[in-house]
Amino acid sequence: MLKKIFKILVILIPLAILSILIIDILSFYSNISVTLISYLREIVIFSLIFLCYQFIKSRLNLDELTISQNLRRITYLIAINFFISIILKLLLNPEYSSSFPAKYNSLSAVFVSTVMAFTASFTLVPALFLLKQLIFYKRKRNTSLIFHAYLLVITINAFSVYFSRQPVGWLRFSNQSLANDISFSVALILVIMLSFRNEWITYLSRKKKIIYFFSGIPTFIAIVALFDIVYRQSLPSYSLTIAALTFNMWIFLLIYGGLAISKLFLQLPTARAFDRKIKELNSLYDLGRLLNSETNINKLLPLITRLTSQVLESHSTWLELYEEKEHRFTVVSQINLTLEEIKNNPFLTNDGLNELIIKNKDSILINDIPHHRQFKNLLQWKKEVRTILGAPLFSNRGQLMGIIYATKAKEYTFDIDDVSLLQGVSNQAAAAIENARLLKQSIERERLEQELKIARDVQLKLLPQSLPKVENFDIDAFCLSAYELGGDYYDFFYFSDGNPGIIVGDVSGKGTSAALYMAEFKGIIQTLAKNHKNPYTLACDINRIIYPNIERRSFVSAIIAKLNSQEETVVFTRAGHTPVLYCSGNSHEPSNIITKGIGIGLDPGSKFNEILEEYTVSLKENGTVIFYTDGLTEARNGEGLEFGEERLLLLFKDCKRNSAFEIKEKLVKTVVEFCAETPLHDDLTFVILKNCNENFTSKP
Amino acid sequence: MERFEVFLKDRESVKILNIQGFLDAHTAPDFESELQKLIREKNYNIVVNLDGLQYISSAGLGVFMGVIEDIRGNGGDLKICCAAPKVFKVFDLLGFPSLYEFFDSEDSAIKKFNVKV
Repeated sequence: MLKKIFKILVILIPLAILSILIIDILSFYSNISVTLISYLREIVIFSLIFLCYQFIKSRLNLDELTISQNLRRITYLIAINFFISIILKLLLNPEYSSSFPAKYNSLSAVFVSTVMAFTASFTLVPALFLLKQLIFYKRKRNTSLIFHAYLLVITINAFSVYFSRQPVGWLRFSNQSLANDISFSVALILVIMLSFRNEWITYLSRKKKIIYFFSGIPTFIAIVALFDIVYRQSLPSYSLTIAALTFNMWIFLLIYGGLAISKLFLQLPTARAFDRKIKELNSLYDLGRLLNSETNINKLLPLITRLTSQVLESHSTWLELYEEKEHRFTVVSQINLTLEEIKNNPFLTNDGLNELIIKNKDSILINDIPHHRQFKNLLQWKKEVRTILGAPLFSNRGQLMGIIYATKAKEYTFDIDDVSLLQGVSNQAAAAIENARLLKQSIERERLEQELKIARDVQLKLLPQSLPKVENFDIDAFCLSAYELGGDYYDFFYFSDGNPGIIVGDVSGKGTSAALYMAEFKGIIQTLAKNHKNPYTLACDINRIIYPNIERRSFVSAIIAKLNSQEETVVFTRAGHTPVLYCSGNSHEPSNIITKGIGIGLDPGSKFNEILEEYTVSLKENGTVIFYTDGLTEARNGEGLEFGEERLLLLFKDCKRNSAFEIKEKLVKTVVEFCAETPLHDDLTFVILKNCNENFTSKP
Repeated sequence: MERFEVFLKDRESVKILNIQGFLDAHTAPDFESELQKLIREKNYNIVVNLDGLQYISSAGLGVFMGVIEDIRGNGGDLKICCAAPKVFKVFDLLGFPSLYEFFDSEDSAIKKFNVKV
């Protein structure tokens, strides 16, 4: 649809222009003026400019133009306008009356005015658009509003000029020109407001600032000259509307151009410093980006020195990290240092330059090494070190991580900007190194956690996977590790006479070592049990084997028991373990049984065997025995209070007639409630043995 | 973290180690390093005074086991005194009284050394 309209317009516009020209020529000769035709003429001309505006707005994509493209186009447009106008003027020498608006005094003036009017329209309207792009470079909330208000005001101005037939910008505020002058004043204010929107200049490089300044001057002169050539006589004589519109645009160009050139001129002296800062920021940004994308510390360290040496254009560069344990520095990466030089590096201790940097927590620059007596050793070490720059690397928490040095082979080759640049580099590098280290740590931790998980799975497999079925016995057991790996252990096995045996043990210490001994312990018991008929001899045998094979500070406390289903008794021996909880079938008061015995692995044998006792309890008529580890009595709550033996006895008294499973549930529930939010600090294990020969009813 | 402290004093050629607070897997290394230091300095007559000890875990008990061979091998001994009933119970359950000499007071422990000498 739009395309069709434009196609039609392409034919219509020249036709319209041509017909206006014919009318103008006719009226030039006949010297008559018809008001209606004059109106029509203005409407057609105004519509042409409006169409041109719409066309540019809808068809040309100016958004993607760079500043230099933008400026070049404006220059071309002004040049076209300027040269066409001046050539026409010189060739055809048009003559006008001196009144306003001027009248044609020669036929050539008719042609010249027509061509100039449209040249001005078709160059200044796009120029206005290009200017808009520049103004919108750093767009603010009301920039667009001001610009559109400006367009509206100059349109109003064009009409008021047409009706008042007074020149624009005369500013006499007479009755005739009041609307004309007011609208022009408003337009002027808006233009001045818009003309300060030239932030794009600030960010130009020094080179561009120079180029734009020197090419801007002739362009500006051309703009100024246009007034005399175009606006004084040619345009007003052709059409006041077009004259006013283009004159306003010309004013805009003039003021904007003037201010832009002045700003360029003012910024020329500081352009070099500004350029350098921009470059510095850019290289720091690139550097930060590169460093942060490298998470492998072995690749990161060489990258730091390489980038530093590029940014600073240094002769040699090295990064030394502080080894906290050894209180010295190590060169971890370098550019242009031989192995010999690394070895003899005078910068590896806390004195000299390092001391200065550490003490001041700031970078240091020495521009004339040969003239400093105290740095003589530097020249002896490496003769190209004539200027040296060093900056500390601090961690997030402000701890010294290391120092980065850059050197040059000539004196006075680094300046204050290089100092801040290296400081910036060292900050980025410190952050990157810290990140890489943290990442490495967390990967390592994850790996360890994975290993622990595997170990835990293995350990869980070492515990009985099911409870044994023993005639006349009701058995249940519970084991919970406080940490990933536990030192508590219980197991079922068979004595040589075929009677089932139970062991509950607690390996001293916690974590990995306890878990490893527990695995060893299980193997030994399962192997030895077949050779023994009673718990006492089995315990002695276990101690004999464990003692030489266990670390001196480790030991195992255990209860080894034998279940006799015929006699409904439990025979046990207590090797340094927590007491045994017992309640006979006909008693109401449970008790703690403490038999003599010492922990496995504490004594080579003689004392162990001498002291250890064997004890038999009868479970007839619903008697109960509980073997537990100290994790149960020493379970602590948030206030540090222990669960304790008394609480356990009371609880046991309460549920002694329940089934083994119910007792287990009750114990676990009570301990968990007691501890509340406090995590277990020791493994929790117990085995419950009950006689189930008689029918009993469990208490509600 | 529970507090744990070790104080060392000399009494008549016997080294007294007064340990206070919680002796568990976290604090056991502190205690052990004190004992190792005494052994390195060839002090083999040691009394460990437990009157300020509130809690001892199996790791804490292990420390005594870890040094006793060294001490006795050099003709010395490690005696324990002033254990609170609760703490003594832990030693007792494990059978320590048959491996170590326990005393009610520091004086009687020291006297035992001097009688021997």
